[in-house]
Amino acid sequence: MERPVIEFQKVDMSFGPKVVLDQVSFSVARGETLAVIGPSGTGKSTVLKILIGLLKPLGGHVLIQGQPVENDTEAQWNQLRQHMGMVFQYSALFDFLDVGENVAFGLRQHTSMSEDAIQKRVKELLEAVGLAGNEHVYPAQLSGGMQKRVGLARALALQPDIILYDEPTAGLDPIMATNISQLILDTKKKLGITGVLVTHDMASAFLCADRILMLSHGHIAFSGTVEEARHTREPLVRAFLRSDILEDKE
Amino acid sequence: MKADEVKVGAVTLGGIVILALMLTFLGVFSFAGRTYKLNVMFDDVNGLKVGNEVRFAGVPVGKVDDIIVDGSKVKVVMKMDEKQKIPRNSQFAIGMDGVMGTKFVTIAPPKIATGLVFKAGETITGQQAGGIDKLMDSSGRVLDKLEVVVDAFSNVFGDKKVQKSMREGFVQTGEVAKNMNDFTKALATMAQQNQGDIHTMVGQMKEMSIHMNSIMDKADANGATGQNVAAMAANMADASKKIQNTAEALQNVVTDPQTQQDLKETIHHAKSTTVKADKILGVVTDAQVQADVLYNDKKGKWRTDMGVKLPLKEDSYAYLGVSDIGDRDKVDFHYNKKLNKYIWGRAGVMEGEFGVGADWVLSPKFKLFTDFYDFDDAKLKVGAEWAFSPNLSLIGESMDVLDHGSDTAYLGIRARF
Amino acid sequence: MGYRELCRWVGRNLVDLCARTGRVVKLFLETCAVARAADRQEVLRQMAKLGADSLPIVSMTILCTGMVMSVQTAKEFVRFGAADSVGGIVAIAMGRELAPILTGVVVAGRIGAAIAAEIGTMKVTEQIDALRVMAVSPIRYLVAPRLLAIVLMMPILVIYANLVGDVGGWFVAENYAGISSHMFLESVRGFIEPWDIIGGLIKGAFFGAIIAIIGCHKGLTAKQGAEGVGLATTKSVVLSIILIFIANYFLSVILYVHGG
Repeated sequence: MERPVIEFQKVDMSFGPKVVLDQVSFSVARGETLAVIGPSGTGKSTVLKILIGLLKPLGGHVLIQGQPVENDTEAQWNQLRQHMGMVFQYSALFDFLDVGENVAFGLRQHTSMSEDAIQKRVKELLEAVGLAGNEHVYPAQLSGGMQKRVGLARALALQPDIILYDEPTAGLDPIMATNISQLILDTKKKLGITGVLVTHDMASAFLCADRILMLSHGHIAFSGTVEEARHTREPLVRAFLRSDILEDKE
Repeated sequence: MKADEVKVGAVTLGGIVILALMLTFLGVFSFAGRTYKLNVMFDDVNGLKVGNEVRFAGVPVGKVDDIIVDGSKVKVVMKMDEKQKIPRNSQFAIGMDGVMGTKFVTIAPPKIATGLVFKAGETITGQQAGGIDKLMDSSGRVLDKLEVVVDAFSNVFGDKKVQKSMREGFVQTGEVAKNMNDFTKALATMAQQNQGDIHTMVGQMKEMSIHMNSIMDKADANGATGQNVAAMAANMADASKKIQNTAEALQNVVTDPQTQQDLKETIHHAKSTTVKADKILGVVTDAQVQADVLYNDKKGKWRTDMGVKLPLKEDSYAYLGVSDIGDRDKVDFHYNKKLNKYIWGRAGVMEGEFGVGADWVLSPKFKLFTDFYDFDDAKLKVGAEWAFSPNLSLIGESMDVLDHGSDTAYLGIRARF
Repeated sequence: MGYRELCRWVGRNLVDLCARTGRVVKLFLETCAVARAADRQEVLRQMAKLGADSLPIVSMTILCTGMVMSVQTAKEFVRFGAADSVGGIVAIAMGRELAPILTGVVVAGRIGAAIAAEIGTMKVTEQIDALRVMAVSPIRYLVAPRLLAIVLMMPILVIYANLVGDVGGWFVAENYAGISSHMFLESVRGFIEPWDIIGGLIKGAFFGAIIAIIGCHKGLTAKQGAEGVGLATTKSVVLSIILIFIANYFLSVILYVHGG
């Protein structure tokens, strides 16, 4: 069997006295999307930050494409990151650049594409996320949902092998949230990209993901396919399914 | 982006133009090309610096271009505006103005113009710093003292009895020795008290006599100078009369061959006299000249360094010299201080660049030295010195150990005298 | 007990201070290492934004300072018969100290704050993380252009400051103390040496480096939220100004005490 694209092996992480990940292990196969769910403050975002090298785990191993990366230097990470994309919770668009420049950022920094080719690619990407013709608008003039879509377009610009989503639907109205979830699903289907989706929006998780991982107090409370999650007796997952009672105002 | 480029370009160009204008205003680029050079020898430049002004009768006519120590004198090279011709017989001195005391070379025009002017590259002897009035004052004082000496001198030789007794060969009698003793004592006292003045006087006497005419003319306009000149002239006349008398009396004595012999012995035996004489010599500064002759066999190149060690205190001295004489002529001028029993530190100008260095005295005969200078180029010089005798050593040094590409190792001899 | 507490407090703060100093120095060295790779366009943009746009406020500040220098010295000096020293004193003070220091302080206030706020905002809105995620070094992309831009622009601002300050002093000397233009200018010419101006420009470059590095450092280490950005901004200005004054003392000693 093919090696998983992403593997966590007994990863430990804590901030001061607070343990966020305690011997967490999981893996994501090629083309698969894993949804990481759980109450706020249980280290969901930390998983993503470790995956893309913004944080260094205190113990255990992280493997990407079968290679251990937890001790990589920033330069080595930068090599890996050119094949990864990330959509941030609050979009994190560069506010000093317009939408077109934001989407073109990676292309300009890491490729020697001609300006015409870059403009063409930007146009395609913006069309794909339903924002055609908005190249010269600045991020501050866009709504939260539109910003998220620009963020997705930016993450996809370099045609990554792996894409990470940090709460892509948080703070959006249900229609817009479904809209974004649909985009994530389309991306997966069309491009076959391996994905990790951190969310506490169960609807989104069920729509986009192949498997679901539930984190609680640094431990994995549940791991299984979407179907298994729907029928599990695990009380925390049941609680999540019933309603978003554990969700606070993050 | 276009607007940014224009803005940055405009501001930068504006800044550079303003800087260039300011520096031009300060005279960095003035007189460019159309200049000629004059050299003036001074005993003491009193803190004059390269770039200071040269003024003729108060009019700026040039800049100080270079200041070089030349033997016991200081040579000031001046870059003069070509349009400004300086008449011969002008007097050159160091002036100072304002509360901050900026120094400049002042050229006083001659009273009687001959129509001749200084030619480019000429070397002129300058007046001592402090101006003519100060010279007058000190001249007067020295002359007073000189009179006492001359009196004592006259007493020795003018006395008929002494003359007689000397002729008759009473060489061991106390008379002569006692008088001689008094004389040398007076001479010693004077020399000690007026060491500086005497130096000044000796240096200035020549100019003084040359320029006496113009000074006399000036005396009409300046009361103080006039009085000084008058008093000095009177003193001089008086003193020269006495000197003449003494000389005559002395002639009477020394023409006698027997007396010559006797006088020699008298002086030889008068121990106290020689002690005094030593003391007079001791007043003169005990500067030590140091010369290095070095050879680089890789390049087959000779180099000569030379300089003066001027003791300041027991544990410090200043070194002033020129390295690589004849080729690059770089100035060395540094202050050396004993830091502890083994280490001397130094800082100052090394090979014309600012630097620091140290000597490691490992034994009375052997020491290592290292200098770090020219921070732009980071030159590190290291070497060793082995003394055969107090006046002669063997030295080896590498001028630039950080630059491995060039062969800069020299071997040679250091002499002191 | 109190004694132990005191020791702990001193020790903790000392270690903290060393760690922070180390981080700033590390940031500076890392920036210098990548400075060559900085994007030309971005450097130019920052030069316009951080340098050229500071010209009016720097000019205003230094004009008033030059005028006040003259007001305070001119009449007194005329009384002591040293009217021919006023120009020189104003120009030397401007060239060596006032122009670089005041330009440094004004730029620290205007630009150091702007840099800390801009980078601090980027930090708290995860834009810095986004840069890293997109395999772009924030030091190369954000810090290096700002450092280069300010280090290049500061000496140019100091040149203008010199001019404006001296002109202010000249104007007041002539109109308030009755010192003729000719005497003022001759005094400047007589007293000041090129090194008085050049040394000031060198100081300006150093102050620029301080402002850029402290602004960037405070921005990059800003704590979450708008309050964190505000705090970073304030700290950046205060620390830059303190460091400028400390650096100025040592630079004055190095540039003017032995070299003359």
